[in-house]
Amino acid sequence: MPPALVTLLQTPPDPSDDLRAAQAGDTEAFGRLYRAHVGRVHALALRLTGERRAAEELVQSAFVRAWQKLPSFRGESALATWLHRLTVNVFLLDDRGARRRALRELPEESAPEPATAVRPQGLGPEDRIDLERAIARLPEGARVAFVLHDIQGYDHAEIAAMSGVAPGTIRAQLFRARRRLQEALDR
Amino acid sequence: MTDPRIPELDPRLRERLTALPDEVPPARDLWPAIAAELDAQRVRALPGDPAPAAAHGGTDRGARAWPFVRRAAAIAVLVGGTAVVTWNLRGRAEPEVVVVETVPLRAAASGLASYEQSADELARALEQRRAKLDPATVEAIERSLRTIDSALVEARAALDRDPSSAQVRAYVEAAYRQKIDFLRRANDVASTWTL
Repeated sequence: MPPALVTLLQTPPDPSDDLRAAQAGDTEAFGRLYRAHVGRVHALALRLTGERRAAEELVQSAFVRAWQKLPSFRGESALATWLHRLTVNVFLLDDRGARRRALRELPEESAPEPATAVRPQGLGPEDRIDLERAIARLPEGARVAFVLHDIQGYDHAEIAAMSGVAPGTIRAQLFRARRRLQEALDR
Repeated sequence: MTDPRIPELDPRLRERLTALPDEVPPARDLWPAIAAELDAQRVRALPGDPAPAAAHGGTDRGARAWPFVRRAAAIAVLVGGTAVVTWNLRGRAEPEVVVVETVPLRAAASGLASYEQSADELARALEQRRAKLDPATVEAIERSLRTIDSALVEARAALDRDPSSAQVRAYVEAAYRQKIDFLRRANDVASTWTL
């Protein structure tokens, strides 16, 4: 086989080529886009849902939805940004009534779950795991508000528009989430 | 992104947040189930099916994207795919055709429900197109399906015996993918076949 052909065959496909091919209906190209983005989408899904099985289901639903919507993607934003937004929408629209109720509910505060002792010197993997666990243990409404605002960077108005919940309620959930996380991580 | 009505994010919490990884790969490969669902949607979008496209974005892209497979080549691929599955699962050079009446896959209990659902949808679509095929082709498809199903039964039995084995599970998932791919191709043949 000519060296140039070997090089060509060994060169990973250009992501923009994969995007165009996937938009034209090529599922193998879409599979490569999935591989490139699944880590970020799953990280978001895991934090939004707080548990593995639900996160996996959300990832699957989001990518199926992405496939359906891909022809309308015009590249105004990065594909990663578009996928993030789509995942959030799928999450919020899935059983939207339940999500709204969770965001509106501000139940009686209970004692935070016991957490590990403080490790003051630097941040290691254990600290990240502790924080992920603490986020997962938040009540759903507080967790969603915290993940979307403090991790994903949406503002209150955007979250309110996406979820159909008043901005004031989003702020209350965010306040509650920050306080509970602080309490959990300070223990 | 600050709001005067909410206390500032504690610097220690902020520091921990910035240390969170951007990527967390899932513990298992989610692509097979996604691909199977995309395949199922494509079958629903094939020409001649009632109202398939509007439910999937209002286009017929699934039908347009469907590769045209000539009959002879398609049948060869079907049988070849079947042989690969059977060989992989049984470790035998020559696949043995085993007739099974039913396939008790019990996929739902082991997280394989999406595969089985996709396969069932494709099988129903194929059944509706069966009349378009000549008897010899129907016989070849049914023979291949029986082979795939018998391999699946064996793989599922192995998974029941050793549910924690990632390797056996991978075999089962591969067999499901082959079955779905087989059914997809068979549907393609049937949709382009004119007696």
